[in-house]
Amino acid sequence: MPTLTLLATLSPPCNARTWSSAPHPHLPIIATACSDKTVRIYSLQNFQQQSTISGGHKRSIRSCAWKPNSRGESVLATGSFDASAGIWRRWEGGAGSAQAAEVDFTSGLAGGGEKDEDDDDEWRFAVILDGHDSEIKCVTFAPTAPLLATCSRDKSVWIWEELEDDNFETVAVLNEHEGDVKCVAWHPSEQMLASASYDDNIRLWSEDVDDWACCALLSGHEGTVWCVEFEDANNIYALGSSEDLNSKQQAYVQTRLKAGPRLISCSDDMTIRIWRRVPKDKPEQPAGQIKAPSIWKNRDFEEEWIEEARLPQVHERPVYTVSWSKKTGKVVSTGSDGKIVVYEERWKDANAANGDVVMSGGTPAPDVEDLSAEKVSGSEGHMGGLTEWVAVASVDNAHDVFEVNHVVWAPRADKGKRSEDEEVIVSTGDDGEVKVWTLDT
Amino acid sequence: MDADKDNANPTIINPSDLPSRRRSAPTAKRPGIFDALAPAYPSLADPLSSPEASSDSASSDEEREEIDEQEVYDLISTISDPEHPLSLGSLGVVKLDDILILPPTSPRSRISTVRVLITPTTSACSLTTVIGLGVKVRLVNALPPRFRVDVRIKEGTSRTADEVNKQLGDKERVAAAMENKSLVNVVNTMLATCE
Amino acid sequence: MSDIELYLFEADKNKMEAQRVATQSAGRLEAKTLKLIDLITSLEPYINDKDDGSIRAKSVTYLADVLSSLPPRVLSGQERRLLCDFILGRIEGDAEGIGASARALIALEGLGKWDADTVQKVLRTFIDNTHPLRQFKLQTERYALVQLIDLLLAKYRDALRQLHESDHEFMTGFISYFEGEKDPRNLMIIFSLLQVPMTEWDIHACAQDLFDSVFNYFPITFKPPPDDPYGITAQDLKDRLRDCIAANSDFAPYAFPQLLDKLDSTSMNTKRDVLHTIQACVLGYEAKTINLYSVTLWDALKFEILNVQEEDLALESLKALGLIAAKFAETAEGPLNAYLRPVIKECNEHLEDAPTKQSEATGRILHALAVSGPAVADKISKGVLPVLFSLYNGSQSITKRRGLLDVFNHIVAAYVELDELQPNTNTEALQAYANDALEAMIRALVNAPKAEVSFRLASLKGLTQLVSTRNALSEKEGERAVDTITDMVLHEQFEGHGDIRAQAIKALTDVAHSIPLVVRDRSVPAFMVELLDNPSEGSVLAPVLEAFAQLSTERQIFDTIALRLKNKYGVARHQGAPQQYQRSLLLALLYAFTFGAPMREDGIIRSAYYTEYAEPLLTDIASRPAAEQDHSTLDIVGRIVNVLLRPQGVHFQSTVYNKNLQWLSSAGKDEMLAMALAPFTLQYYAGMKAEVADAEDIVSVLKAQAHLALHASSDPVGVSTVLRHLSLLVNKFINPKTMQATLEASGIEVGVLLSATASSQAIGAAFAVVKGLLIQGKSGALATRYLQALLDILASEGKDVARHFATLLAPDDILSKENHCLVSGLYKQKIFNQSVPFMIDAVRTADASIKPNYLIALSGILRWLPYSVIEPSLKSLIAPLLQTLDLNEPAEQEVKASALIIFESLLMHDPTIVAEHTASLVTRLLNSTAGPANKADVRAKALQCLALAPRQLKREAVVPYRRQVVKRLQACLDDTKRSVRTEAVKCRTAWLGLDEGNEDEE
Repeated sequence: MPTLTLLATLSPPCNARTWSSAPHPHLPIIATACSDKTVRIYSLQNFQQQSTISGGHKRSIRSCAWKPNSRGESVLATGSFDASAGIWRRWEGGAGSAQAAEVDFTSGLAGGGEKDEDDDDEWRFAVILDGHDSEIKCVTFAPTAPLLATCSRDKSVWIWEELEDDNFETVAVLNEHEGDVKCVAWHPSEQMLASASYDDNIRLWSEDVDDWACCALLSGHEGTVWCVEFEDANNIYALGSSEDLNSKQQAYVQTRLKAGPRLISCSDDMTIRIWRRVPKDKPEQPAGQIKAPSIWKNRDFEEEWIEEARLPQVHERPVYTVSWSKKTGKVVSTGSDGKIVVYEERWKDANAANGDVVMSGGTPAPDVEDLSAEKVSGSEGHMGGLTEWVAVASVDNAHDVFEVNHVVWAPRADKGKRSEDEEVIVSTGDDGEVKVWTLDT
Repeated sequence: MDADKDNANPTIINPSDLPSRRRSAPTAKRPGIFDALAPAYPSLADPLSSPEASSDSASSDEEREEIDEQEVYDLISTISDPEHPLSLGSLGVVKLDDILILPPTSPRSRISTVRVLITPTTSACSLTTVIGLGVKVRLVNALPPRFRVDVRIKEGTSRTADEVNKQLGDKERVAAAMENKSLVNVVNTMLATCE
Repeated sequence: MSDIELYLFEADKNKMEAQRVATQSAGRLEAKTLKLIDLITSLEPYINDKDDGSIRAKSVTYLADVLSSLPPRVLSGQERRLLCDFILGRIEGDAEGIGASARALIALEGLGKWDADTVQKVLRTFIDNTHPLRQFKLQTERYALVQLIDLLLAKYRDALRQLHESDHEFMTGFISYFEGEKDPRNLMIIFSLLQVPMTEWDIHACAQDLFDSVFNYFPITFKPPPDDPYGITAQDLKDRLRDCIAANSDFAPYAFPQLLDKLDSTSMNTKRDVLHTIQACVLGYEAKTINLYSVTLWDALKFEILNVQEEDLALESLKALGLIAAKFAETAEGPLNAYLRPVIKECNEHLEDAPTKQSEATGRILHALAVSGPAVADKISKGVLPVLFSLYNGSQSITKRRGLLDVFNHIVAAYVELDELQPNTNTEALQAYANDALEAMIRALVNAPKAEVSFRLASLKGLTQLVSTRNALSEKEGERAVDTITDMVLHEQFEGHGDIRAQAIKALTDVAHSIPLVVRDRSVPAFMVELLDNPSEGSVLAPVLEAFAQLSTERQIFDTIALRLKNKYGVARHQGAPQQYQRSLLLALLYAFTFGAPMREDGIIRSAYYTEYAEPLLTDIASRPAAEQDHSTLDIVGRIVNVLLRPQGVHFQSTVYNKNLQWLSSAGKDEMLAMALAPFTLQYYAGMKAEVADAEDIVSVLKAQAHLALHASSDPVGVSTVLRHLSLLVNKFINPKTMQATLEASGIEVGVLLSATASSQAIGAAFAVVKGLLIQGKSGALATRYLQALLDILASEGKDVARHFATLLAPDDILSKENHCLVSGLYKQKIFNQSVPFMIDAVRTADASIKPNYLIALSGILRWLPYSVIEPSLKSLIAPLLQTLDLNEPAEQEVKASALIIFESLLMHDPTIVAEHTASLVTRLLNSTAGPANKADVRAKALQCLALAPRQLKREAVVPYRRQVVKRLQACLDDTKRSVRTEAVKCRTAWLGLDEGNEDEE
């Protein structure tokens, strides 16, 4: 059974709670949002702090996100309890490249302290996005379009379009949640946004003709939904690769491909759930594509998602974050109990009687059997039960006795790197520390 | 003048009936009145055997006094109610019996949980959330981080219980609240009376 | 130039000169070289100057100045009358120099009394012609006027009263005359002069105007200027104003409504002022007037007590309520009933749902009323007790009963207080329920669950009070009370439930004060039953014994207690009871003589006690061989002997001394025995006056002790006893002149002791001798030399020498004035001056290996010095003290602790001095909070210091460390010791409270 091993603790740590970390889309650096109103940028090559962003926010920075595919210049969005979001720019140029890393290395040892001043000026506070009435909880850039989503305690989700540099326009304010919106996540390939809320629900939003609306309501969690994330567009991973799948399994793979990336969510109710779109029977239209208005439009616009599976319940307290590896499809979760747990999805052992496998604590989702599933093409429901989720590794007290607020997969970049696409897990905790873990098999 | 209050005239528990460590301490352990008659002074022969050095604080220094319900109670019972100039203890808002310490669930885990049930002075107490916040903040600041603090409203004592419980349970909200100056001031005035 | 010309010429440029001119003219008038008539005529042109008012004014001033510097009897009555008319005459036509005119008149009046007409004329002229006063802008002018009027009202009351009576219009003018005055000086006078009409005249007709004229100023909100030369405070004004308001019953209809209206003010100060004024009015107005408002007042005042805003306001209100009651208590019964009826009614209502804030307040109200007089107490009891007890018996709820008892206790307390003021107050009303109460409370104490602490405490308190209320209880009832309490003391020895047992003991001693005989005849025997003659090992009688000993604090039963203890000890000893038990009995005896109330003869504890109690013990010791001597028993006996012997006179002491000389000196020759007796002999010699002992004997004693100190091999405690004895002998008995010789003769000359191969005994002895000398301060040179010697060996010797320094100044109950020792007032200062700078230097220069020696020694000295002594040299001390905090050997914990204590006071009193060291201090303090390297008390103290930093140091100085400290303190929150955790919480709270600033929102 694989084990989680501590590779490094990024230094210097923060003196106050750290909330979340975001790996750079292509540079070996990671940005950590801290309650001391700063964002700290660490190198994943030597694990030293490179620079800090400060002075833009009056309260905790809760979340930060990198703008994808921005070559030449790094763009970071920050969301803060002061109800504002900030956009920061900095010329790339070694921030992550090897030689600069060496420089960092020494100065890193010398203590981030002095380093900061020199670097701070490189970060430019480009624009501030005002509009939310209260704390911003999450910010995230869309992979498919120049869109930025923010959500807040004010129960709203805002979508901003970047017209040209530093000119952001509000394209939608989505108000259907009945409580704080804790997290927003973009679909990897479609213009679809998922939001998780204090009202225990998840909502999916997409563009209907030319304005954004809620296309699905995913309810089931019995507590605040802390985090949601879509899996990668290529959502088969190991399942597809293996040869000699039996017919059932192949059919299932087909459905999965048809359904597209699934959504994973974790909650105060200590469960982690996986949701899957129910493909429409008629030939699939790429969602969000605009057709001639017809009274059927709405029927097409609205989507049906079902809870496909629950991960084995390992956590004993609220689960704050789940992260879905783009490379392996493994899932990592963490939360208030200070545990970090890694899960993977497998074919159920054909021989094992009605699919309870020793290692699995996972329960097939109840509504797999229900009508909503039945009416869908094929015996979808039974297929849902074909795979199982298994907790493959876990570590207790990952951040001493403190709560762990966030985990995320990131490409491994230090000298010890073992394979091209080896990944590490980065965890962020109340102790102000950011830790890097390897998954050793 | 009390019209605006939810409960203008709450019953007050007499201080000497409030649970205290001394109250339940064995009489034997307390120093006798004769001890003062033959006081010990640092010995000229062997200065190290001075009273402090020989006092029990040193000898028993290693044996650990665990954090127990009473200690938690002592931390929060002195918080003062935002609408009466009285302590939560004397108003019976916090009770020793409603404090529970849950040990770590597995030998590997080092995390214990403190569960505090608070009883608002009336079912309508509009300030329940504030009181709960005060208790939560006090414990989060005063207990070692290995404790998870769950503050909840005792069943059937407040109409808004579920709502309040969910708020107090929401780490993010509490954190944000503690960055809100005006709220912080309210809480601080409540905690000002804490030793 | 005529005087007036000169005067006018100087008036503006040079007041002094002008004054001189005036005095000169006065002189000439006196010398008859100048005639009054000429002086007046010389004035004419100026005093009537058509166009220049200031000239007119100045010439009047001149006249005033002249008159004020005239001695009496220079002017004839005739002349004075003329002058008076002259001045008044011109006032009618011209108000210029009005102040001066007033002064002139004051001066005239000073030269000879006036008759009624003049007085009336003067006042009238002013009221009629200079009304209103405020038309004069100069404070000084108005001041002169009010002074004049004040003078008139003070000296010529009848004249002015006639004026008032003959003319009803007069008063109106008089009152409005002062309207709008703002100057505090003038107001002070106006308020006091107005009191004449207010108190002495019939002003019924114009009461309202008169009242309003002063009440307009209420409440006084005047702040005296920082450099106010007249030092008039707001309080002075408040007091005078209050006297005015309270001056006349006719004000009541206007005063009370307005005052009560102002009582609703949101300003606590106003409320305070109102309450004081109400009290004054209640005292000032007639009973029949108060009668009209008593209920209204009650209705208003009660709120301050039922819903306390500020405690002191509640107290003032209670006082006011009491005063009202007192007002009626003296006089009519009717008003009293009228007043008390609603009070009692409401209080009884509040009893219904006791215990509540209201019911607690009720208790206070009833008490406040009842203490105001027996008559009131009687009515209160009659009105409340029936309800109270029917509720009590009607309810099963213990909480409720407790609430009711609390109220009852308040009432009884009132009786107790009344009885102290005027013995034999009538307690019938109380007696009627005393038995019910007694039964209820006894039941509570006997049957109520022990966990019901407050209920039982309330009962205990009530019981005590009932007993101490004369003739509230019958003798039988008193006995039952005593029995109950005694039983509690004796049998409530199980764990827990607060200090109710302690309370019971206290109660028993209180009761013993009021009914000693009952306690003597009932409690004492009960105790004796418990105190076995020969208890088995380990049976816990200590609590009983402690309680019994505490009864000795009541003089009337002291002798009984002491005697019983003595006899019990005799029996116990005879039957060979456990040592521990025998010791406790002796300790109890010692306690009685130390903290109890033994009989005294002219302030000195009776010598008979020595003969009866100490002597037998002493002879007993003398009769035993070394083997049978028990160290701790000897110590206690020694202390008993000491406490009884030391206050006695030389004559008595000498007899004792000679009686014991023989066996003691022979014992001294036997090393074993001497060593064994050490604890006793120490105390014995400590008690003796120096002159009692004979020099020869003492020297031999010294030799003996010195021998023991240097050669006897014994436990550290034994040795230290001997060493303390050395210090004592050196300090008290040895003649300073021959000191060094004597020391040499006894082989304890410090120089020798410290020579090369100093054994640890030798070092101990050296410090003992030096300590004796230093404290005595008679042989200065020698002491200085010796102390230096000790300081010098620090460079060579090991740490243990350094540690000895802590003993030099350590408190020692032997070396005290009570023990007739020589204690120089300055010795601490001296030691400080000689040793501390030396060591500070040494720390700087010494190399790492011996630096600790100096640090240890230094803190050994410092830890016993009062902060005031250290204060001047703090700056230079900080560096070494910080280094002390780095000492990490377990042995150095005490050193660390004392360093921390100094930092604590430093942060308290002189934070500025530490400010520049903030960084290193914070780090070191944080390091000192870590266990187990640091002992619990060190960790706690470190946290206390750390907690002071954010409060005492500048914000910007500490803020940078906030997050770091807050984070590191999380570890302390999990300290193994509760006491340390408590400190950690306080400390962390203090740091969390630091506002990091940059909050530019909300």
